[in-house]
Amino acid sequence: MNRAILLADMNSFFASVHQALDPELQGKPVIVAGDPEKRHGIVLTASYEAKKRGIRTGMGVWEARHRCPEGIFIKPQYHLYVDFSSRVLQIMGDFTPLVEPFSIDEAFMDVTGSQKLFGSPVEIAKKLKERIRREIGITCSIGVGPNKLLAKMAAGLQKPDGLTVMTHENMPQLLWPLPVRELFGVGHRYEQHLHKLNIYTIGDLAKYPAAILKKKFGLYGETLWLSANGIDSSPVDPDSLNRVKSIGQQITLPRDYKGNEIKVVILELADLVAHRVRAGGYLGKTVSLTLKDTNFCCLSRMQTLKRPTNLAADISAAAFELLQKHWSPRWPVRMVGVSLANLFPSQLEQAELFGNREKLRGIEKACDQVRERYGRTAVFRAISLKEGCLEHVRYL
Amino acid sequence: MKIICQKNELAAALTSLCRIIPNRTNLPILNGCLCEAREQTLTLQCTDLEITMKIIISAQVEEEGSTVVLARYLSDLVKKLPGEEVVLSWSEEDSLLDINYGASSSKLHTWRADDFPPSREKPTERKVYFQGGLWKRITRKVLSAAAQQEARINYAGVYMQFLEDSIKLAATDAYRLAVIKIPNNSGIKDCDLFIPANALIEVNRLAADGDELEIAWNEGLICFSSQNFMLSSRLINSQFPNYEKVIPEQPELTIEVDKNSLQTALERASLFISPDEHYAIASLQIDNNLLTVKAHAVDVGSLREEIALLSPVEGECNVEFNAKYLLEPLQVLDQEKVTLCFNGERGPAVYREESEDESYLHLVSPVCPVG
Repeated sequence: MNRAILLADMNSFFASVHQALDPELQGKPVIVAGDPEKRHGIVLTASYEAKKRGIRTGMGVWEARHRCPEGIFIKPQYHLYVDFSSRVLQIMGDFTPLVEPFSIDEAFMDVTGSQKLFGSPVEIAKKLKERIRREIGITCSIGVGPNKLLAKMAAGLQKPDGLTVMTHENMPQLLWPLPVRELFGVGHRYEQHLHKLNIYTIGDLAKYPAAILKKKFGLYGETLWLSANGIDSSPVDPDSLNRVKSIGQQITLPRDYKGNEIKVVILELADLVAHRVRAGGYLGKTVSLTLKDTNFCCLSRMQTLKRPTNLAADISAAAFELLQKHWSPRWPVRMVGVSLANLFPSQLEQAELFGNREKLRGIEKACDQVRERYGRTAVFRAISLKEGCLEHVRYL
Repeated sequence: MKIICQKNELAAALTSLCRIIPNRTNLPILNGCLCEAREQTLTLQCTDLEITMKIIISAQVEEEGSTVVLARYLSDLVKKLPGEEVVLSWSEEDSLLDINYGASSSKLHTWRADDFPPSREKPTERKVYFQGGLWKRITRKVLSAAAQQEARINYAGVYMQFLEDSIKLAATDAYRLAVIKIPNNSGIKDCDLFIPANALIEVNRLAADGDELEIAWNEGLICFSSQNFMLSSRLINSQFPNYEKVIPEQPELTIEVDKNSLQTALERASLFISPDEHYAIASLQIDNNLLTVKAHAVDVGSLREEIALLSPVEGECNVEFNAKYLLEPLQVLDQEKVTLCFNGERGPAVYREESEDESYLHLVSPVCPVG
């Protein structure tokens, strides 16, 4: 049976929420941006009125002010967005139980089984748009397709307030002329790799021999080729957001760090990660370390541990190894991220006969309890007292 | 070189030798087997530079000599040969090993025997003798606890201690520990050896129960030899963990159960592996002179078995283990009655087996709550 998948994407979600709450703001350039006082204040969302004036997501606040002096700048209020998002999801749930939240402003719906109740996928999409507009007060773009990939690509074609149907038949006209970068799953780096193969549009990719792509990029190459041909069999999974795949923490540093200072930051991040892993009742097997320098040159490496862990000691040890192996000590660092992936819920762990694992576990557990009761900075490592090291633990 | 030997004997020897050939090597000659024909014997030798194995088989030597031939090819070829006897011949001129069987023959390329890594001199400093059967039995009992991965070198071997009046062998992989104590009749004292587990496993395959096994060693090398084989290995040069301190002195609770009942119950329990876990967890509960074994796997099902204790005990206990770790020692225990000691919810469980002059223990650490 042919599936019918919808992807609903809320247009300029954060800005739309503020416009829905305050009619005064409607029709005006609303810009939701991080704290303008801090250096990492950037534009998170701009309303369509602001977008017309050249405001883009990710732009520095200072630049946005310069381009659009009459813009209304609003600090993000996440609780509002979460509330709106869950109301939207509730409406979607009236049409089908198979709703997969994809991000705060996007969700997939599998309406294959709802057609007898609510009509064709397009009729369902129209009803959904109408209800979201009437009951929530925001508009959305909906893509309709035979699978998640084409639904997602279709939704991106018409913004704002669009409704696009993509089928395997009209895909060559709609999808293939687009630059390859637009394809879901193609990032900056893959775009460059594909350009080297003379692949510039999604159509180029679709017509490229799959075997060569597979040889060059492995399984992912094959996945990309399938995507370009509109083939995707992944199911709409209502639980996907509830399953935690990894827990990570990252921090942009106030200045360039080098050598041992980076290690201290890693230790502090590992403490935070381990604390969250333990709080969730997980054990994880893969540690990854991400580092960026001032030129945003990025390095991300991972390592699989011999045994699953939830201890900061194990996480930091693995991250140190990665640092040693892949980062030159002379290379300054501006951002550090540590994460633990390959998580699975577990209450039990094989005890060891030798070593100090039990003691470490006791220490970390005791620190967890102190932090829960007296706050996050109530207890920390002595090395964090060194100048320049602890700053971020205070403001995290 | 020209010899006539029994096909089956040659095939068996080559199969053993092929086990120590490295899977990947940048020294091609390590794929070879050194064949030396002298005085009515054929000596075959392979090495991975850590372990060197020599097997001696009887042969009718018509012309002495030596050469090196690709071991895996020779082994596979010999296995498939017809008839009882094989004729191997090699001459300096064409450097090919001729394998004759009836009217047919095959040829294999060879290396010069001089190019084969020279075997290290057999240590003479210290030596002891064991009866093959005894040695195999005691090492098998401790090897069950040794780590399988070479990556964890501190755990991948058996630690042998010569004490005043006893010899102790111990092995651990950090989760379990096996120790066996036997009387020391060797006259050697205050000496300890850390022998790689894989060398011992090979020795146990080669040694015959009735033969005498000579074990000789010096600072870095150990050599096992018997009538028809010799195996030498580097000793592990790192510290074996201080294991004595993790053995609980006074157990909280000691039970006796029938080995077969416990073994079959644990075999069934070890089938219950949750999709997220990598091993089955068996929970053992002692109450009212009953041992209850429980296991459950998410989305799969659960198991509960009751085993009567062979002697009444006071007290209760409830502790969880990796089912495999509890099961494996049972395969090496000799007595039908198993003695198992418990040491609280977070303490290890200890199998103990005592006989006239031998004492064996196998300690298994539990799985504990991570929170």
